[in-house]
Amino acid sequence: MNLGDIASTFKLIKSNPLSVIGIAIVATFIVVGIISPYIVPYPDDAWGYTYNLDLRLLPPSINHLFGTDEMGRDLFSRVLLGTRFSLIIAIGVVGIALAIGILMGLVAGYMGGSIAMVLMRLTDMFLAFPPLLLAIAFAATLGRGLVNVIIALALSWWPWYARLVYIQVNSIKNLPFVDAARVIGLSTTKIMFRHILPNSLTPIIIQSALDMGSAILEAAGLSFLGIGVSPPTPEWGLLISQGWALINRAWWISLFPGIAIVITVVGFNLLADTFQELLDPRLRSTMIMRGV
Amino acid sequence: MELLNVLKLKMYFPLKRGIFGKVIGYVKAVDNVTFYINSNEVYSLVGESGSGKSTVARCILKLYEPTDGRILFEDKDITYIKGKELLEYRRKIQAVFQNPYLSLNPRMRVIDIVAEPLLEHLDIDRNEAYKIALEILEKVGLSSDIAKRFPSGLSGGQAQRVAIARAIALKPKLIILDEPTSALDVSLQAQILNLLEDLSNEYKLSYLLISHDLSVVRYISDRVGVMYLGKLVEEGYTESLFENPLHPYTQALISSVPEPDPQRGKLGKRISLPGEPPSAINPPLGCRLHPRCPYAMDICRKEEPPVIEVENGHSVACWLYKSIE
Amino acid sequence: MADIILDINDLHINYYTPEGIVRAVRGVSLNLCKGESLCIVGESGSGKSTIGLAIIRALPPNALIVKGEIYYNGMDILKLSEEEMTRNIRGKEISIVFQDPVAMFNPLFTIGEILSDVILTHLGLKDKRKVYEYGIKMLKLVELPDPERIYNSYPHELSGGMLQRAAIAIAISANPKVLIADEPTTMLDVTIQAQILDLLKKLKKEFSLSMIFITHNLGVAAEICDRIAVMYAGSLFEEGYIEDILMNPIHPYTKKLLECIPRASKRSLKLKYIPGSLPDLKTSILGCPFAPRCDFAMDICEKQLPSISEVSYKHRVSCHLSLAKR
Repeated sequence: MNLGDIASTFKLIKSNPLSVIGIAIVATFIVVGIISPYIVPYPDDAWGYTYNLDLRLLPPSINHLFGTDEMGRDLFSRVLLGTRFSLIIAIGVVGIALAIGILMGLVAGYMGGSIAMVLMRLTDMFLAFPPLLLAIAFAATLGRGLVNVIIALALSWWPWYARLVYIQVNSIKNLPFVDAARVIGLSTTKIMFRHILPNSLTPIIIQSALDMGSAILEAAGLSFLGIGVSPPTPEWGLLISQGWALINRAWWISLFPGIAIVITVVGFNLLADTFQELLDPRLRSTMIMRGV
Repeated sequence: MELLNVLKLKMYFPLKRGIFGKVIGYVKAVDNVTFYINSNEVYSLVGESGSGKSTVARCILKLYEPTDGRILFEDKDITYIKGKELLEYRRKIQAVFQNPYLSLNPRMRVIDIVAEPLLEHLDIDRNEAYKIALEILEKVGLSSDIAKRFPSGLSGGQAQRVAIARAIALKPKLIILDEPTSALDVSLQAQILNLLEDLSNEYKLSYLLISHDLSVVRYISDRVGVMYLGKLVEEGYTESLFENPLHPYTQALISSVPEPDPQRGKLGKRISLPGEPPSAINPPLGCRLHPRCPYAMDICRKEEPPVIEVENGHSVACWLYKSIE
Repeated sequence: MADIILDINDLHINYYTPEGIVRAVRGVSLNLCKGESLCIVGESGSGKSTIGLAIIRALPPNALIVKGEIYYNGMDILKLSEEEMTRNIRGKEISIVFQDPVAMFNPLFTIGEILSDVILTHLGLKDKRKVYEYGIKMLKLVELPDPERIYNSYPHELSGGMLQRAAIAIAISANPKVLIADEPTTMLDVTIQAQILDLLKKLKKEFSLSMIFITHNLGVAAEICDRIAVMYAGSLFEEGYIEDILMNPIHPYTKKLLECIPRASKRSLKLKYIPGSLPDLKTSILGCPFAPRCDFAMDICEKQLPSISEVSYKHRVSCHLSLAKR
């Protein structure tokens, strides 16, 4: 990547409205996630430490943009703060899963032999389960809580990355520049981390963008089922479940967190699409022809 | 002085089937190959695909461990060395591969690519290494503004020069060139070949050239070895081999090269070998060429021919020349 | 005077890439006469393969023919619809063989399945038995040993040479008038290459095929072609009968190219090379693209693209030096 590339990359992104939308959503998500504790209109409500029965179940109004919940807390503040928790979950889950998965895939892919067999069979065992089911099993075992949610999801996800990396490494390790590195006399570790790993990351970048959105979705699912974060954490899934019973009377309690999830996940999906188009030379050409 | 000695080299690759990887046969890629290279000499191994020439190179580079045979470098047996000894050996033998875009790490800058071997073997810091690397880049005809680029930003000729720069960085004694110009345009090929020649004079290098391109081989080599299906079938000084090819395969090979001569239809008068080379898994008994050889005799089908020296330094493995012994 | 079967007129083709617009073919005019083989020779970036793909309208999605016509038997095939092209021209009138035989074959189908597909589509033979027999006949024509076995084999079971023969069989199965061969022997061993060149010569004679043979190897061109066209950076530099070009090359590039080639047949003295490198095809080049590297470049060479002049019978050159000499 040099300057010429960056400039043309910007041009390409600008030419596609969907890419721009995706990037805008994700950027907003990150910024709000970071600053939300400082900008929520009702901080105490947001964190959930208060309740005000006089203000229960009020529909959206100027004072309460998203209305109030059954404890009288301002929903807008809670949804806004929920962004931070979703951000923590997204980064935590994907980060841990990447770390474990990349290491496993790299070692198995390059070393081959019995190490690869053992590691890949382990990966296969995990992959045999539908990921959500596995996450539910882990979460139920670990109990509620933000950290447990992150661990449960990360544990159910690292095998996907391990497999992606394994496949990439397998095809790269036979390329001449790896032979050249061996001929120079580099140690196995240096070859793995300096030569093979940087060239194996492309599919992972795309996948992890997608997975950020999925992590948020699945965490929300766990919370909705009652095995995710514990109340009064304003996590979006938990907010939805809290409004579920009241859906007929106070539709706003479940709706707004739901919309937040949808927009965020769509944003990450569009971002993943953009990455894919940029990184795949053939698709890149399609992007250019659009402008011709 | 013989710089490199390859003695009865064998490289058999096992063929595995089934979940447990049962061995059902061997690909006899290199089967009992013996040759030597002098210091300050260009030796070419010629052959078509499946001849085993690249495998020989990889054994010498210690990318494979040979099934049998020995490799001596500067009179030292390096066949099974490891660790520090191996590292020392690697300083003296380097390689340039066929496709420069594949032999350079696409995510490393040119300067880092050339500095890497220096940092690995010499006790110097990064700045020192960069300084030396820039000098080497200049030696191969590249200006310093190339240093910051990535391989994808280089032309084919430039990229191959970077690969050459990396190979000479440690001032090795022997460089293995695996089809170094096959991926380049003809007008560039000459540049690279001339550069290689200049470098070998300056650094007193030897080259082992692996090639299927006979015209390049004739231009640059002192001695040539011809391989077919894992065997060395003929060997000699370049002019001697090309002017007087002894082995039917060598004759066929040389006469099959198309040339831009106004007197066309030359290929029609060539010595042709019908069919294709068989697989190296179950090579023919006796002389491996006998199913395709226009001169095949009974003995060729039964016994492997011995190596016979026909004239000074020019030897051939073929029953046709038995009477000369 | 032999009829012209393919007439390329002032062709301009661009590729649209992230780094800019690559002007791959800049105003090339060529023609192919019935029964002759024309070699388009050039190094990388010359545009030779692009022209081959353009004739058969198989350019990648980021390429555009921005100007020019290609007349086949008097009809501009660039104006045909994709459907008309597929139904009537591709495979039926004009066929192509590519450099990498492996890439040409779908690994999931046997050779026979692919062959019979072409036969059914273009020849309208309905009877299964007849299709099979015709297919075997085609495989025999390209001198494949044991054609029945090959018919039922998958591409990965065959060697490069055999696959290329199969590819040729498929290409000629519908009896095309024109065969385009894009570097068909570049990936093959030299002894196999000789066999394939022999085969192509034989087929050309037997079926009165007109051939466009694209290659970077002047030796191969000398072997198989009647006429040769030398291209550089999207422009046509010299064109003529192969004997004329080899004995009397006019363009400085052609001359230099011949001096760069080492020979297996005789000892070469120090090889010449062409200093410098290709111009950037993303810029519009004023004048002759070879000017920066040409020993004989004059002022006018950098300003104006030389027009094509006929030096002797059918020997045409695009060069200011040649124009100046006359």
